[in-house]
Amino acid sequence: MLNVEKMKFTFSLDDVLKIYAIGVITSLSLILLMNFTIAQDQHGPYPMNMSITTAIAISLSDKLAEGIFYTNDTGAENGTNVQYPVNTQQVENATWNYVTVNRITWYNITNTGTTDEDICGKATTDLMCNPLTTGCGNTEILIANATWSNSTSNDPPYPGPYEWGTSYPGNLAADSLSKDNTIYTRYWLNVPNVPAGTYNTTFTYCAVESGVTCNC
Amino acid sequence: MKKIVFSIILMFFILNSFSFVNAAVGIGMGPSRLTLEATVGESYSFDIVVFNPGDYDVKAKLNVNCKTCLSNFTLFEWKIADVNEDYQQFFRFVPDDVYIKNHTNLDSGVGITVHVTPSIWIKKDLIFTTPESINFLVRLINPGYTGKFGIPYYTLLIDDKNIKAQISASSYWSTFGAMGTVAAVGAPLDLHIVGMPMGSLIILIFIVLLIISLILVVLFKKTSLFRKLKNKIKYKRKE
Repeated sequence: MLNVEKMKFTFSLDDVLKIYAIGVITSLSLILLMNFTIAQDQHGPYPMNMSITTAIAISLSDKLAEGIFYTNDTGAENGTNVQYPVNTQQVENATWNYVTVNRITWYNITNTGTTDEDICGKATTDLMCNPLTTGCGNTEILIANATWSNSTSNDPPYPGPYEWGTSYPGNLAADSLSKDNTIYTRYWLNVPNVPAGTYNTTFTYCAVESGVTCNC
Repeated sequence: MKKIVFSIILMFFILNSFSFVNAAVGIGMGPSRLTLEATVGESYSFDIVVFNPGDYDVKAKLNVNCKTCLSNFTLFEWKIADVNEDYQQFFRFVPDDVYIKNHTNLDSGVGITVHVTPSIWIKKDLIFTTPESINFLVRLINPGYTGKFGIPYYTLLIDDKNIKAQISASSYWSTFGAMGTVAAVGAPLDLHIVGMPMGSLIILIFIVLLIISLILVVLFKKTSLFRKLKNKIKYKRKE
């Protein structure tokens, strides 16, 4: 049972209010102080001098930069190196895998930086047919059907042991590639049973300093 | 005989020119890695250089990606959602889109000023992934639904925080024509941020509680709630 007789106020309500008022004034002062401390753009910008001693750079051959186009033509065999529609359920070459004259590849990546580099690649998406295209609209070819191989000499082996993915890890095209050195690549597409049409994606090659996580 | 030798030499040069005729599209950036110490509420800036070792001019975009910003949101060890911490708001590139002439290097490239302003507030997104059975129904209303939706919220940056990010430059256009393969370079950035100390947070909570109490007291006094409460207790005792 509640013993209400013992409930007596030592301070009047006005006294309590005064104490609170003092507390609030102190609090507001503290808030203002903190606001000055944590407010954005109140301090700085502090310029930081960073000496740039190393640089990362890559150069893609122009045939690689214009895109990896697959063709049912093996390039060197009939001497055209142009894109023809691929055959379904066949492994098809990229157009410049085997250059007509001497069967070298014109796909290459060069370390043009000042230090050793790791180079990795990814596709933005699976190979996708434009949704408005009659026949193949909304159809996809999983990017893992696109394979590649690499070599430090201009003769990357067939079949391509690596599959493209949509993230960088695992798609290392070059590991500790030295300055001014080149990695050569070839590309193939295992065409599944899909409707005829144009399937697109965008590939990216990313270079980072050797030893750090390859990501751009 | 001379004609044969001349023909062989000519063929050699023609074949060689076929081998090395292709030019290159490039992108470069310095420095190759960055380390930065920062405190919330202060603004920092530093310069990086973007250049183009290739044979064609390019346009490139600068951006920053966080590598340690995605974590699991769990409840009783069950993963409910992903939590994405958005630290991109701390960074600003001036300019963030550049035209770079061919055959440039660290000395002749384009300078970019990176502004870093760590904020006390961190925007986070709680990202839920819905099963495909639900996605089908949602796509009837919203055809562009990707199967994920996020709920944004803000938290305070308390104590220290280490962020592993990546500053990257990607070429997206070149004078030689449309690009189907993009060249990009990345420089890892280790950012150590000193946030609000835990002691300050406790003081802040205390201040907020004081303000709430004051409001309540004023409210009680103005509306005579204390008196009514006292009377009510007395009334109950008499009963």
